[in-house]
Amino acid sequence: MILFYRDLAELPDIPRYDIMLSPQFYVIKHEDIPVKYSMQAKKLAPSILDELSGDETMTHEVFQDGDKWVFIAYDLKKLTEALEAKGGSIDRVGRIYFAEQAKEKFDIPVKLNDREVLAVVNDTVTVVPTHLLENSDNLAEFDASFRPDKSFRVQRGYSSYISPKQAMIAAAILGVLGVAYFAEGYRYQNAVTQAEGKLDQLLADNPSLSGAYARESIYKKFMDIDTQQRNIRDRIKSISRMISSKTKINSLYMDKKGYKVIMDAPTDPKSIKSLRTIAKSGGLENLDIKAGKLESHGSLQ
Amino acid sequence: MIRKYQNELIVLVAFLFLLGGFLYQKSMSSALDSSLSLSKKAAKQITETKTLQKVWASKGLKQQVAQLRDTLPPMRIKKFDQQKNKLNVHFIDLTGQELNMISTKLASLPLHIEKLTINRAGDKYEMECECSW
Repeated sequence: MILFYRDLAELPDIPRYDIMLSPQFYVIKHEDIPVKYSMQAKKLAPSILDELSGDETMTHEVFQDGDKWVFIAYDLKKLTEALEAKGGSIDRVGRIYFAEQAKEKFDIPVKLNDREVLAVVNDTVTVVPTHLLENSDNLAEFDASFRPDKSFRVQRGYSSYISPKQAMIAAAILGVLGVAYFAEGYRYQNAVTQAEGKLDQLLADNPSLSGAYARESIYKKFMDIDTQQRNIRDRIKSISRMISSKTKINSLYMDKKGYKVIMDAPTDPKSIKSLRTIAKSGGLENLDIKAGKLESHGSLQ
Repeated sequence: MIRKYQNELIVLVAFLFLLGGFLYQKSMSSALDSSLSLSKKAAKQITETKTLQKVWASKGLKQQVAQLRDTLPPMRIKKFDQQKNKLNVHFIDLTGQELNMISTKLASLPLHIEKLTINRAGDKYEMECECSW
């Protein structure tokens, strides 16, 4: 623990240290107020120290001294600058103590430099010029025994651009949204499991079609057969509809790929129109009716 | 550093949590889409394949095919070759009515018509057909 005061020569170059602040870095007020817990007292600190600190950016701490509450305010920014000026850093500070906490220890003044000491004046630890002491030879050395029981920490987020309250509100909103997304994702995950279960059951009921490749292949084979055979039957049906006493088949050839039909046809326009209508609705392609002959050919695939 | 910008870090952690949730939801959503689409496709293929199999690979066709021979007088049948799952027929001297009747019968059976030839000479028709099932 290092006693930190304005004229301190230099801070040691070690990764972490605790500091006890001299009254040069804080303002203090003793108050006898009827509160039980330090949290309650801390909430009152800004209003109690308002006149002394006069700045909303001050950091407030509170501790009990007998029946009274001790309210302290210090400027973290100024403390940070002072630490840096002595070759230190606020990041290296572990715990903060205030000289006032070790008031009993300062009954014997502690030397700060040739001109000043820390001593208790009017029941408060104060920086006193050495020449005002009655006995300037009886001075104590600052050591580990000055360490009080209660310690304070540097306020977290001291360089943040947003306040803890704003951070909490934003984090709460983002957290709620995050939970909502996770919940929805979990619901989808369950739905995926259910869908996979149903598919597995369907495949188990049809083992011959369980393989994706085999299923695709069998499905395609039967779809091709169905399309082809339906086309063949549709053409046969259409040709049958065209047959009459004046329209007779001369020749018909049909295989899986295509067909060709030649028929005797009437020559009157009314019958020709009727044949064309039947051919069109029946899917007969490349229809040619002339000189008493009807011819059509096309694909069946 | 962590203590210094703790408030921003809290927001950052919450944002990362949100981002994680968002990505998880998105990945599960796309997994569900793909799973549903796969299931739908497989179910459609299985149902349709079974239906088509019933139509185009039905058993008991052999008997129905054999009955075709009885629909025409023997003198009209030049060839009626039925082997295992193949049928090869050649009908001759068919009247228009007989041609219509036999072609309707053939088309009504779930046979795979592979080749069909009809030729007319005068008032008579000749018909050849190769089928399988």
